[in-house]
Formats: sequence, C-alpha cells, structure tokens
Amino acid sequence: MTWRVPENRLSVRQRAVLTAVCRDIGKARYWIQGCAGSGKTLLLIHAIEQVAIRNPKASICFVTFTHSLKDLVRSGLSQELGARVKVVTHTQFKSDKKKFDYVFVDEVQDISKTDLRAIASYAGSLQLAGDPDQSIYKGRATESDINSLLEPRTERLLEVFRLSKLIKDIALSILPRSLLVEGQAKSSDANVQIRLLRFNDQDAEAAWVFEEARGNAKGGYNASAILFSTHKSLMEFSKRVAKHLRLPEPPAPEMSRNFEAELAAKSTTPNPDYREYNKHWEARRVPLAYFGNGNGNLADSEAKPMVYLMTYHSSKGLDFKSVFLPSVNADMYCGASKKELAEDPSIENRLMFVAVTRSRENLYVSFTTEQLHRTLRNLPKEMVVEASPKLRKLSAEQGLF
Amino acid sequence: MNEWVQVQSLLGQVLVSFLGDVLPGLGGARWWHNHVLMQLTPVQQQMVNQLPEGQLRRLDMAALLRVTSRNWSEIAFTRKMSREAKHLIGELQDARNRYAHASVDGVALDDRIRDVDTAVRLMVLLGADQATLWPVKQILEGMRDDADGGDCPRSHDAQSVEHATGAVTPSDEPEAQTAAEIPAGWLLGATADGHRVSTLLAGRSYIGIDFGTSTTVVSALRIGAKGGVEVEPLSIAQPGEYGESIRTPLVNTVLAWTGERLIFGADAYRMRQFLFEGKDVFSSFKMRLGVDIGPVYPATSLRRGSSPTPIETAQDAAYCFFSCLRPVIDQALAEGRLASELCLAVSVPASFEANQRRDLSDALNGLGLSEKNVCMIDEPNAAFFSYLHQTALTSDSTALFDRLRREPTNVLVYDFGAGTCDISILEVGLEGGTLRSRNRAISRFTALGGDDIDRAIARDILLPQLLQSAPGYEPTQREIDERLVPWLQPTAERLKISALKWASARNLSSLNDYDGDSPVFIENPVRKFIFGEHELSIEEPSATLSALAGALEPFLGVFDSEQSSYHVFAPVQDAVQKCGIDVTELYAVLFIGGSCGNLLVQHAVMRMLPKSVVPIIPRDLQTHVSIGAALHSFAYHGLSLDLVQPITAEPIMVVTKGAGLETLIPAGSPVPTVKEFERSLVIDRHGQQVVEVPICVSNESKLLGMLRIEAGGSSGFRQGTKVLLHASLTHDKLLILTASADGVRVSVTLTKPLTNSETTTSDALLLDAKQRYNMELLQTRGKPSIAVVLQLAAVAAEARAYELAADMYMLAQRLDPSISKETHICHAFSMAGRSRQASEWARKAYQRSPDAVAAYNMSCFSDEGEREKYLIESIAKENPPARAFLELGKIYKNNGNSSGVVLIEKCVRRLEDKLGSGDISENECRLLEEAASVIRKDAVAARARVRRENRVGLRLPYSEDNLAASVSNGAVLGELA
Repeated sequence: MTWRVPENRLSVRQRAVLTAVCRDIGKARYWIQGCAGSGKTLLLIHAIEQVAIRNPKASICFVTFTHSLKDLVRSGLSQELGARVKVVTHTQFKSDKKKFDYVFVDEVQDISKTDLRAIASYAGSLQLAGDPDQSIYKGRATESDINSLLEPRTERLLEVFRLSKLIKDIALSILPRSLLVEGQAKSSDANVQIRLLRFNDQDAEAAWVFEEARGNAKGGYNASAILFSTHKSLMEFSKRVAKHLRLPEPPAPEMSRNFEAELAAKSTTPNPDYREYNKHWEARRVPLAYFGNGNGNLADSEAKPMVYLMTYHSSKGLDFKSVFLPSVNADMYCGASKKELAEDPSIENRLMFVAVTRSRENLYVSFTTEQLHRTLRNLPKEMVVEASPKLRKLSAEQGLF
Repeated sequence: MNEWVQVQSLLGQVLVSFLGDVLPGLGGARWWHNHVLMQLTPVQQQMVNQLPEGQLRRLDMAALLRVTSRNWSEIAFTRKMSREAKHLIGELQDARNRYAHASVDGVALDDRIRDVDTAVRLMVLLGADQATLWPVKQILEGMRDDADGGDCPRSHDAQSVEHATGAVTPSDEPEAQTAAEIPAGWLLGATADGHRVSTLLAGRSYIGIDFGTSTTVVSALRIGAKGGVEVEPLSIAQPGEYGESIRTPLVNTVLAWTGERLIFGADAYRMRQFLFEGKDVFSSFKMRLGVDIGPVYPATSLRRGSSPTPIETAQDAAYCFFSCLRPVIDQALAEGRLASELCLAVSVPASFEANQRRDLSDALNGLGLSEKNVCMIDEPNAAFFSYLHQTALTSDSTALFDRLRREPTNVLVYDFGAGTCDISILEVGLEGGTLRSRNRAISRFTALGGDDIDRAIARDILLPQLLQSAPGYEPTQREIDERLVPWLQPTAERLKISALKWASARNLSSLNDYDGDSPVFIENPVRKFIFGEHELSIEEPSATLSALAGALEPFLGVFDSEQSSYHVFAPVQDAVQKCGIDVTELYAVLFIGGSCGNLLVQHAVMRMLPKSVVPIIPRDLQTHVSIGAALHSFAYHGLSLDLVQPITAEPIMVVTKGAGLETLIPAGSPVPTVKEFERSLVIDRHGQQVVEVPICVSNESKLLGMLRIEAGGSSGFRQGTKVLLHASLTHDKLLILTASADGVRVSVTLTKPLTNSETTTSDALLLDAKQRYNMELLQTRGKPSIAVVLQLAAVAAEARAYELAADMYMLAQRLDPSISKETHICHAFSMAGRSRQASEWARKAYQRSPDAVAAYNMSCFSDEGEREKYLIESIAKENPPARAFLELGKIYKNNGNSSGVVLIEKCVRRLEDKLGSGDISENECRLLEEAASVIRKDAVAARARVRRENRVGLRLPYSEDNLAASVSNGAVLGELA
C-alpha cells in the first residue's frame, strides 16, 4: 500500500516520536498529535510492528473511529500482522468487552469521554493518536478532557507530508490557528490550484463531476473521491448521475438499526445501509460505490479505477489524489445547525478543513448558486482558478485510410 | 600489424584456389554471374563488372570473404564440409574490417593473435597445402612468443570508450586523453571550494534537464545550508485545461492542443484520453528524433503556415516543448531566488547517435539559449555522478568510496525509460581527490522501452476485446499497428501499472509466482473507434493477472539468450559481452529511468546476475538523472571541468566508388575532435552532375547520412575534380561535415539519416518510401497520388511488409478503380497469412481477367473438384505458373493417375534449368525444393534449398554512379599478391 512509508524513510521528527513511544511502551501513555497528513496513523502502525516483534504472545488491538479507516489500517499491516492484530471501531471494541495487552486508538478526539474511559479499562497499555483541530462531532472529549482523563505525554507532529503545499495553505486559510508545517515533499507531489467550478444547474454539475472523477481514477489504490456534507445531498447527486448515464435511479440507503447489530446498539446515530445502492452500480458496471459506515471496500480500487462517494465525516483519516466537493452552495448544511453554530462558530470550518485536506493533489470544488459556501469564500486568489466547464463531447476516432 | 598483410595475402591465395575449384561446379556456365557477382554489394559489383569473367584473383579480401561466406551453405552441402567454417569466415570478415579501420592505436596483440589463429584454422579447413600454411604458422608462433614476453599490453579493448576528464580545451598531449583526473571534492560533498562556488552561482543558474520519452525533469544547483553544492528538481508550473497551474517537478513530455491553446506537461498527458495522438496530442516524440520518415503527424491540427506553433514532425514537437519550458523554468528560478542566466546540460541516452543529437540540439533552440551555454551529457554518466553526490551527502559513503579507491570498479547503469533501454558499463575509481571514469561499453539503441510492454498488452489482451465489439470487421495489419494498438495503449499502460502495483504490494518477484485466485484488472471504457460501418469500443477493458503475466513473459520471464531479444536482461548480456568482462566482475547495477521502479524489472535483471552484484536503486528514480545533469552543467560551464570526455567507439566512414570505405574519423578519437579530420576524394567520371557522399558508422549497412554536391553548371564536374571532406565531432557528439569541390560553389545538403541501427537495404528503401508517402498525405490532406501509393506497395512487398503492401494496393485501387492490382493484393494477403482476404481477392482477379495465374490462384481457394478444374484451366493458358503443374500433378498422383508424376517432372525440369542457369528466384527455389521432394529427387531438392538460403537481393539508397572515388583506389580491388 503506497501510504505505508517504510521506517527508514520516516522523517527525523517522526522517528524520534516512534522511538520515544516504543521505548516507554508499557510504562507511559503517549498521545501522538498532528494535523492531517502528518503521519499519525503511520506511526501507530510502526509502533504496533515493533511491539509485535518484541512481544510475540501479546494481544494487540487497533481501535479506529470509522469503518473506512479500519479498511485503511488493515491495508497497511503486513499479512502476518493482519492476522494477529485486531482492528475494530471503537463501538465494537466497547461492546466486545475484551481485554488486550496493547491498545492503539486513532482519531481519539472523536470519541466521547465515557467511551474513552471504557476503552482504557480494557487496555493493558494504551497509546493514542489524533488531532484536536479535526474534532467534528458534537459532545466528544475535548483536548483537556483527554489530558485529565488519560494523562498522556503529548508528542506533536507538525510536518505535513501527504498534502501539497497548496492544499496546506488552503487548509490554513479555512482554519488559521491550525499548526501546520510543511514536510519534505516527494518529488512526484504536485501543487495544483483549487478548481472552483460554477455550473448552471445541478444536472450538469453531477454529470461533469462524475465523468471527471472517473477519468482521473486509476487502479492501484488511486481512486477518486466525491465528498458530500450530508447523505441527502449524496443521494441527490447519485440520482443525477443515473439520469446522465440513462440508468435507473439507485435505491436510497436504509437508515437501518439492524445493519450491524453491534453498531446499532451503541451508535448515537442510525447507520445507513448502502449495500443495495452499491449493488445497483456494480450490476451496471459503473465504478461508483458508497464508502463508509461499513459499506464499500477500499481494496476494490486496487484492481480497477473506482470513484468513492463519501460524507465529509466518514472520509476522515483517508486521502485521495483527486477529491471532488460538489454542491458547496451558499445554503449548504455543513455539519451544524444555526443554533449549534452560535455555540461553536468554528465547527463548520473544522468540517470543511477535514474535507479539503482529503486531497493529495487535485481538489475540485463546485457549486450552482450565486456564491460559494461561506467556509470557502475567502480563499486567497492565487490559490484558485475559476471556470465553468462543459461536459466533454467525446468524438469517436475515425479511421483515416 | 605487418604480419596481417602477409597472412591476408596467403589466405587470399587459398580462397582463390578453393573458390575457383568449387564455384563452377555449383553454378554451371553462369557461376561468375550468380555465385560471384550477385553475391557482392552493389558497389563491389560495379567494380567487378568491369573485370573479365572468372578473374577471382583480382577480388580483394573483403570480396573474397563475402563470396565464400554467401556461398558457404551450398558449398558445405555439395562438398559435405562443416557448416562451422561460416563462423570462421565471419570472424575473418570482422578481422579484415578491424585492420582496414583500425584506430590510431592499432589493434591489440591479443586480437591479432586470435585473428591469425582463425586464418590458420580456415586455411586448414579449405585444404591449404603445408607450403602455404607453414609461414602463417611461423607468424603465429612468433606473436605468441611476443605476448609471453609481456612488453605489449595484452588487452587493449578496441571497443572501449575512454572517458577522460580534464580541462575543456582538449590538450594535444596524449596523456590528457587517457588520464581522467579531476578534483572531485565538491562533487563528493566537500565544501572547500565553497567560496568559489558561491561566486560562480551569483550570476548564473546551472541547470540540468533530463529530457525523457515520457517525463522531463529540470534540476538546479544551489549552495546548501552547510555550504556544499546541492541540487534539487525545480517545481515547474504547467498549464491546466482551465488555466490552472499545476506545479510539479515531473513534466510529462506531452503536448496537447485544446481550447485553441497549446498546453504541455501533466494536463496534456491527462488530455491524451480525450484527444487524438498525432492530431491534437503529441507524445513520445523524443524517440522519433533522428529518424526522419517525413511529417510523422500527417493529421496534425497544427500545420505550417496556419499555426504559429506548427507540429508536423517529431522535431517540431520537441522544439515546441522546449519553447514552452523556457518561461516556466525562468519562473521557477525566480521563485527560488536563483539567477536568471541559464547554463544548461541536457542528458541524452548514451547510444544516441549523432543524427539524434543533431535533431535534439536543433530542438533545444526552442529554449532560446546561446549555444555556448548548452551542452549534453550521456544519461548513465549523469546518473552515476548523481549517485556519488547523493551518497556523499545523505548516507555513509565510506564503504563505496573505499572500494573506488581500492580498485577500478565496474558499474552497470541500467536505464529503462518509457521509450528506451540503454545499458552502459562504467569503470570508475577514486585516486586521491580525483575521480577516474571510463566507459567500457554502451549497448546498442535497442528501442526496447516500457512502451513495448504496453503495446504487447494492447495487442494480445485488449485488441481481441475491441474486435469482439464489431464481429464482421477484420482490420489490416497497418490498421492494427498504426491505429488500433496506439488507441489501446493508454488503457494497456494503466492495466500494467495496476498489476505491477498489485504485485509490488505483495512482494512478488514475478507475476507467475502468484498461486492465489487470479485477480481481474479493469479499466475505464475505451472510446469509440469508427471504421466505415464498423464501430469498435470496449465497455469494460479487463485483463486477468495470468493474461498480463503472459503478455509480460517475453520481457520479464525466463531468459533464453538465443530467443529472448525483448527480455530486459538481453541488453545487459549484450553490454557485458561487448566489453569482454564476466558478470562476476560487476560491482553494482545502478537502475535509472521510470520503468525501473517496477520491482519485477529489477528482479528479472538481478536474478540473472551473481549474488555479489549490488542493486542500486536511487531514492528518486525520476529526478535522479536531471540532478546529475545539473552537476555536469556546473562542472562544465562553471568550473570549466569536463567530467566526461568520451572517445568514439566506432569509426565514421565514407563510402566511395568500388565498394570502398574510407575512414573519416577513426575509432577512439576524442570527442570533441581536437582538429578537423580531412579526406580527399576524386571525381573519376567526366560530366558527373551529382556527387553523393554516403557517411556511415563502421560499414555501409549503418548509414548515418549523405552529403550531396550538385554541379554548378549543366556540363557537370570535370574528371579529376577533388572532393574535399572535413569532419569534426562536437562536444555533444554532433557530426559536422563539409564538402567542397575544386573551388566550384557547391550546394551541400546533409540528408536525414535513414536509420539508427543496422538495417537491410529493403528496410531503408521502405523507410524512404514511407517518408514520401507521409509527406504526400500531409500535402494532399489524406489523398495521396497513385504513383506514391504504388511505389510504397512495391517496396513494402519487397521488404516483406505484406500487410502494408496489400493495404497500399487496395488503396491504389480505391483511388483509381481502373488499375488492376487484384492479383498483387491476393498474393500480399496470402503471404501475410490472411487466407480469407486472399481468397476474396483471387476471385476478384479471376473475374476481372481469367489468365493462367488468376486461374491458379482460384484453385488455391477451391474445394477438390473445383480445384482440379482451375488447375487444368491454368496449365492450358499462356504462361502457366510452374506451381500449377506441381499442384495438378500431386492431385493426379494421389489418385493413382500416372500422368501426375509426369506433370511434376515437368515442373522440376523447368525449374532445374533455371537453377542451372542461375536465373531462379527465391520462391522458385522453394517450389523446386517441394516438387523435387515429391518425386524423391532429394539431391535436387537439397540444392534448391541451399541456393534459396543464399539469395538476398541488395539495393542501396544511393547510386554508385554518383559516388566519388578514393584517391588511393588500389587497395580496394587490387590484384592479390
């Protein structure tokens, strides 16, 4: 898997943090903090490898917040470790009530205080990773909650590796107080201006976004992602794509409480079941799939070009070369009601920060209203290019002779 | 070397006596014509034509060896002699060339001993008497004694290319050409020269460009934080489709014309899927530099005259590409606070010949730089400097440098890019603070590239899927090669990348190693291709792992040196053999070029080498070479140090009248040449209008180009007019040629080289005809004239490009239905193995004109009863083909009808007469072979076979009449002593 950087290629800072965590493991708790693309998850994987080698009989568990992240973590583990390390979502971990010698928790800022307490009680040694800037859920443990509850030693990673300089600057303009330092870029990293694309109507927008996302996608885990702030807008978009392709509309997900029993019992929100939706596209050989909440499979994108539809929330922790944010209209619901916004004015920006930092290279933001959504209205001019593209009319090749 | 003259003379006597004995027996009355004259090169023929028949002793050694070699199979058969002698003859032909074109240093003693030994062995085989053999054996013994005495260098590799490093101005002292010493401290990370370096960097930027077939990278040098020299790739702003800028150090070597704008790089590459190659998107043009087949983009949207940036040829494309790069390089330098005056080094494949370098140099004018600020460096050398520099800066380099200090170390540089695979073997060493570098071998320009793998996948896997969508459609080979496969290639490339990533993720060293469930790789739909009433497309292009493994097998599978010419190890074997070392003498393989990132390629190469050989994979394969080029730029332009000063590997020669080859620039000459080489020729025919001076590398089959001097007046040149040639090689291996003739103002045109490698004459003619055809297509916007089409068809048939021949004949008939080429088309299809089409055209030919040949052709595609009827019809008509007798005879014979054997005998008799008289074609030989076998005349059949194996027609793209003569002509056709 391409994101899994070998240990000898880690940065000096990353290596120092890894050494500290591994040296003190069993004696101290660490919280690896770091912004999007700083390599938090990567360091947890390396720490797991070292623990596994040193303690061949120890039980190890990796706790993620989302199902999609679970997929990513599994793809980063070697075959041998994959069989040995249990990778679960925090809700599942809680309901399993099973003790582990070593527990590693990613995206700790998204877990509630109660749940954290429960997780700690089943963990022999507990190590954490997460970024307070990316806290996008209401009612979760704050930074100070986590500090007082678990008393971790904090190590902060500031270099951004995964993101291009431009995406980093864009993220900073959305969330200015965020601490981001550019790490050494790979030679192939490209800095591409954000494409702000205005369409006359949503049908045209959906058709264009789908075609472009499909054209940019490649096999070998180079999928494109189209992200939505809500399931509703995702479904509307899907229907428009069906119309463009002259196919029947896909079935809406069932907001089922029975989808995954263990989730349903503990989850604060019902989990959407997109299995029928995904089957709909697969049967028609359209490389679209909903990915998140236990639906869809990242491994599909290894052997074919895939376009994943996700919500901003479920995309956290993942990254894609090309990311499309359609319908970023002036009236878009961005994770919070007016009332909630009044209480926590930056919650919208944090969610948009998460969405734009999913892109390693190409970020396409599109809208059909007069103005763009307020979270992206103040992007510096030099970072964006505006256009109103038309759907390509592909002429067929004509034999010349 | 004097001993060779003596040996050659004695060998000549043996050959003359032997040939005089056997040839008349083989060829009957026409032996001189068929077995001597027809076996010579056209230039040799011209001279021999003037001799009285039978004067073998007036042939020179080259001609004698050629005659012996070309008749050997038949001689060996009739005289029951060993076929192995052919190898000896081949070795002696090489030896003869070696002495004729020896470099200034002469030929090494080892080689000389081997050559004399070979001569002795051949003479024994040919039955030389002891009196002739004795003096040669004496010479051989004397040489062996010398060798044991040890005052001669035993091993002088005539093929090797020295890389002397020293001052830029070539010195006249011979030591300067072999001693390779430069202060290497700055290259190896030292900071001592820091002050000087920063002064040099104040006013100028030293940049390196790795101009790759698929990706171009620009790097610039700067002073690092610690005071040493550092090189980094520049992030180049490339225009996007919507006017956005895409900044990345990797610039795809692609141009696209979209929205009335010419864009280059990343988005141009992405646009490939929406545009048409050769019309509004142009890629892989680097590979086509130096090979001029006319306007290779006849369908271009950017025509000369109507577009400010015309792209009709590969060179146009390269020029445009560099023009696009200049402003964005300036921008990147300004942003990096680097000086704006550019000093540039461009890396090129080591095997790039002068013609390719010349075209590249012209294209580099697009950068708008003064010539003195541009130089070239061979990619392997750049790669090695980059590796040394990087090792010194980033990791513990003690072990490597210790090794380099201890002994000269052989490093094989394996450069596998999208379009090329180049192998070089460098011998490097460190002495004190100086670097020694010698280039031991450069592999031939094999044109094996990542592209070939993509084409194999497109052809083997995707083409059948495409054709499924249009069941009635059978494309011609030309449509497949030139339209459909390129159309499918981007999809094939993506499938390949997916599969290779998949394999890398599982640490597989071969796709065949996987025993789990074979995954299926899927790609986006392939766009529609419309051909007449047929619409072709692939909804879901896919390939199983095992199908991909099959397509990759010839490149990455089991290596068999006899068969696997496309295998990634083949060029390694070639290079190692060429420099005469054993693979165990290699210290490391340095992989560069994008395709080497592919683990399977690395494994396929390394598993053929001993475990002791170290694989070196640079940290960043794609930027590695450009960094070395920037280092070279700094050394060359800034410090006036030439890190590499190569010498020529092979002699550059001129073809003169009478099979003459005169050396213009000997092998082993330093590059650039210290002073111009001069050669006088003479015009030996009064009134000659044109003088053609063909220039070649090593021998006339590797033509490099041609100088053409046209007489000023209508009376032509006077006999005896001197033709003065001047030749020099520039630093960038460009060959500069001038010619003058007796004060007459002459027009000199350097014709474009026809080829970069050894090709047969028919290939060269085919290339020439294609060039004319492409030019015609461009000029007439797709409606070529009948004459050009028919010419291409005829040349294609001769070069055995039967699909193309059929295609062209059909096109001619479409253009003008009144001409009748049905039989030609039928024949071409039949030769191409396409029986359905052949049958269709046989019918058309018969309907149009039912002559003996047409009737015979009909018989080929009919069932039994019909077959007999057509054959009878054929032999009843005027000029029946001999084959008709055989076929009808076979039918009768099988039916127990005694007249069958009579018919076959008739066929054999007719052809045997021709065999005896010598006027027999290759196909007739084949027919005779078959017919004689049927009636058990095995001896006749065998003779026909060996005769056939010896016959290959020869034609050259220049005219013997127009050549100039050598001033000292005696040596070429002089009488043997």
